[in-house]
Amino acid sequence: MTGQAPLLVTEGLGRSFGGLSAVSDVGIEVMPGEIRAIIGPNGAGKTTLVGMVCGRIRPSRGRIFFEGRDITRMAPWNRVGSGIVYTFQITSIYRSLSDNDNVVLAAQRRLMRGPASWLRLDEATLGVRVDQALGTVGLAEHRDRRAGELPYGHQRLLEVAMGLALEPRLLILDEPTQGLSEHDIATFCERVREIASRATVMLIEHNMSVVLSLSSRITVMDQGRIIADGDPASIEANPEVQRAYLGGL
Amino acid sequence: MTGTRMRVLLLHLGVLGALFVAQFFLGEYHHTNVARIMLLATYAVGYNLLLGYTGLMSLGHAMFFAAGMYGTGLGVYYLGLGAFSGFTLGVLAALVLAAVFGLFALRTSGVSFLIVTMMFGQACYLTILYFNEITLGDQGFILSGKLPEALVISGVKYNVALAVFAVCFAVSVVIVRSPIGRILVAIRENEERTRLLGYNTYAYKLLALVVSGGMAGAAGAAYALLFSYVGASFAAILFSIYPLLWTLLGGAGTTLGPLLGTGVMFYLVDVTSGWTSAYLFVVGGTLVLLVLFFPLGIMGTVRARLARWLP
Repeated sequence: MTGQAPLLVTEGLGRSFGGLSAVSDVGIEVMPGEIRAIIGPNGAGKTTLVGMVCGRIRPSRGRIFFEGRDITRMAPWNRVGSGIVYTFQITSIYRSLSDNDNVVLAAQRRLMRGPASWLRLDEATLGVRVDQALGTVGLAEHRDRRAGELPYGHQRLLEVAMGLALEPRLLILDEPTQGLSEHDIATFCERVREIASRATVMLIEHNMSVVLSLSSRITVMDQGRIIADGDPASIEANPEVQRAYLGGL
Repeated sequence: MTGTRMRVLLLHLGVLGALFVAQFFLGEYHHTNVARIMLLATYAVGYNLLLGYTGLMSLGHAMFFAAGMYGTGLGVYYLGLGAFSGFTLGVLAALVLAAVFGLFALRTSGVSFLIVTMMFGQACYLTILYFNEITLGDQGFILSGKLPEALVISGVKYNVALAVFAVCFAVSVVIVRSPIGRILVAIRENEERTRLLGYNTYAYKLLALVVSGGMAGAAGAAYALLFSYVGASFAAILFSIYPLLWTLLGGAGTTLGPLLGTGVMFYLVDVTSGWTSAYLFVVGGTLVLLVLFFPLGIMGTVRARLARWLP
């Protein structure tokens, strides 16, 4: 690399649940501006790995650095503050609130600074940011609908909009295209490309055509370990990957 | 949105205005009743912030009411404090109790939280009974003769109760419509999502609990001053269940629900106890019907069917 410092580094990262080791000794480096795909069969430890990066899951071993800072013990809400944003594998939105209010909750996180902002925010700025985020995913005309009433594909997009409104530096998308139609997937890929011009993206994905068309680098996991790491072409050609994963499709 | 803002402001000011004007029309009997209702509604307004907006159900809230009541009562009785400093001591006692209790209890959630609040509430009740040489236990003590004469005048009582209610009511409306209020609702709807939107949910829940406990304490403190009696029955479990019922009846998660629920329940008991000694049966029946047919409570139903803009 051209002397650029990596955005995210993990060292010897591991997590066991009971006696079972879900992730062991994982070291990855993600460069700024990358779209990094993480692939692997079910149970390979992908969600556990990104869970440790965003703070949902506490690592049993190892360390995590974000922009050179050790964040291994940082609280999840503070990680969001420094720009690590996670979108859930199982859609997690506020179902009884409107789309607008869902995104407002994300956007106001960035505007809240100090006790004065607890009671009052710059509503105009808030509105602009919410419009932008909803516009980017194409949900602007559904803003007053209750989130729980949206079709599934739109709920996933809403979740991405919430992620965007948080102004991520590292956006982690956990199986974002799961359950989407072919048409929605195509639109979604375009959105991710747009997002990647502003933020680094980590993408957990099973759909190989999405992975190959989007990612600049791919990390392959199997049974909690990294078995390969490289650009899309070399990953496709890697015999071990084909045996563990691609061949199984 | 400014239209909504104006309507909300006018509605809530209108309610306070109506309560103020009502004192000139009410007879002596209802005059005292409404003063009592306003204090109990203050207690319910605080309870509603926790249950209705933050989604935390407490069955030990009487400990905060009692902290306010005993803080004030003991201060006046033993230390010879005046009405105002007694009131301040009572509210402080409730705030401190809520903060300390919250630091521990908020490590739990859901049913465990409910049980912890209930056990803590019972522990406070038993503490009051245990130190009966000071608190005079079940029997309690009266403050008359130790307070300013003016507090006996029913017009003063009414307006003190109204002032306490108005402040807590206004605080609740401001919180509910602020960025913090939005976060509290978010915690109620989906706490993990809220944490991963970057909010320290524990801190926000603690804030809600302290404000809620402080309002219960203010209600208890004013109750001791205005009705001149301090007793352990106000710390018992039944007195923790009341604000839950009032809030559910009026509509949890609505700003006007607690006042309405408290008022309706108060007069339901008042009227039916004139007809029959089994008035609790009528009250219970009403609640069953309410839960079956109007689970959102009075104001919750009004909001869902008629006025979506209500906070």
